[in-house]
Amino acid sequence: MNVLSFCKNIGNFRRLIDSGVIQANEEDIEGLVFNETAFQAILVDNPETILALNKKFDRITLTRIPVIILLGKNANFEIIHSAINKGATDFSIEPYGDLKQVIQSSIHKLDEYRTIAEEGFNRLRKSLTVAIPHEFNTPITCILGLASMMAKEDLNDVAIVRKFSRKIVESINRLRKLIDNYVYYSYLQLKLSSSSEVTFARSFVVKNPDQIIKMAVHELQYEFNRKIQYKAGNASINCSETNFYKLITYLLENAMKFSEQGSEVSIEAEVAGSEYKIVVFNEGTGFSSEQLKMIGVFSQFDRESNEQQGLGMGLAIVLSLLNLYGGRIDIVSEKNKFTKIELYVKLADFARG
Amino acid sequence: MNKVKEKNLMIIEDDPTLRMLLSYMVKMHRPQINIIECENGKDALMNMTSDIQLIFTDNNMPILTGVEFMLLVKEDPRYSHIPIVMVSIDSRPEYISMGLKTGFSGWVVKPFQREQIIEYLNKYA
Repeated sequence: MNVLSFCKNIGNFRRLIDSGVIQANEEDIEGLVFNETAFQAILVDNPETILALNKKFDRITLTRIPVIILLGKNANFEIIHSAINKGATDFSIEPYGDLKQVIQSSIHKLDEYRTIAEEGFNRLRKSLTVAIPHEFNTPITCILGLASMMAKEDLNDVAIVRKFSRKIVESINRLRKLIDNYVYYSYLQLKLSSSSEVTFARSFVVKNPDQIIKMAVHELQYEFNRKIQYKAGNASINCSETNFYKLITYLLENAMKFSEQGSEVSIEAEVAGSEYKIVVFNEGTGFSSEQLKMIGVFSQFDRESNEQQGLGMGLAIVLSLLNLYGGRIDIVSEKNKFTKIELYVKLADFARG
Repeated sequence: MNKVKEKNLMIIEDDPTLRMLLSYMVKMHRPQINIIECENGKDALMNMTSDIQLIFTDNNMPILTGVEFMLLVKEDPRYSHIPIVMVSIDSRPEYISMGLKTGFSGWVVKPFQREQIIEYLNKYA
């Protein structure tokens, strides 16, 4: 193993690291090329060197090789914190007895992060290459196929014509929903990227969340032809009416989609301290603890074993809405048994401060 | 999922509307053909019989994909003679070429025209 050192007194601790050392100065950074085969870690003794490295290289390049800062024996929490904030992967304090171990654990830690990132990227890639074309193409194929049958075949049976027309409408609605979700998710990301938009969003208040929950329940009971148990108390909460309606709709749609017809789906809402607590429960598919960690846009689990429509945007939209209004979520689930989602939205008075 | 009596043609498709569409396209031209509708490859394997004349299968399905189903059928001497036509969104030439080499008798890219389905129907059933 080789380390690239920007430290001035490397001679004093060279024996501690049991590695080849390539000595460099800050002036060398301009011409520096990252090469994992040439050196596996970077040692610095000055936070300014980390800033110079940050200036020269992008963040992705800097995650390939750990940067370890060597601090004097008087280093306190603030100094360590500041070095880590500037981009150090880890640190060692004089007399650097643990340096070899720090280097090795930093390399290992970055390897682990890289593996996790690659797994996440592969899941996203699979979703983008398989699920998205499938989700858009299926309703288009249905619409074109059914419409061409109606145009070309001699359909005398009115019942068949009606059936085909209904299926065309269903397919168009499926397509419209996909596009709506995608556009709405993008709109939320845009809002979240601006602090003034977030502040503006948080100035809205819903004074009748119980009525909105009731309305969403009725709509979805009709759409899915299923009973939803509900109980909702009233409060003034920090959200807009439109977005609160969407929040409840996405939560309940998810609960309906991942549970069997006839099984229990319920929603309960009440004031809990300074928050409005909403609990959505459904029996059915559920998430494993691994899957709970991976919830995000385009994350639809178990596509290999269940036929599911959609791109897995529902919970990602719920999470974005909670971010926008400063709410929080707690998901408890047991695979193939149940999912319970607890949502906490700030009461308006407490949100204002 | 269907009670099998006279089995002549099998449609394997996980989307119910597409399954219905394929089924009607066949029925309109061959009202006498019995259609066995299956939701995925595993469902299809459970309903396999040697007197099926033609199989249309989707690929991207839960539990057992169309390609996995085809490979299992072609390995089974009882069913290896049955022509299987892939109905898939995949239009990559190299993928189609590989599919045809490994056992599919035809390939229809979604969205498809009823004429494409009828062409295979006339050829094999």
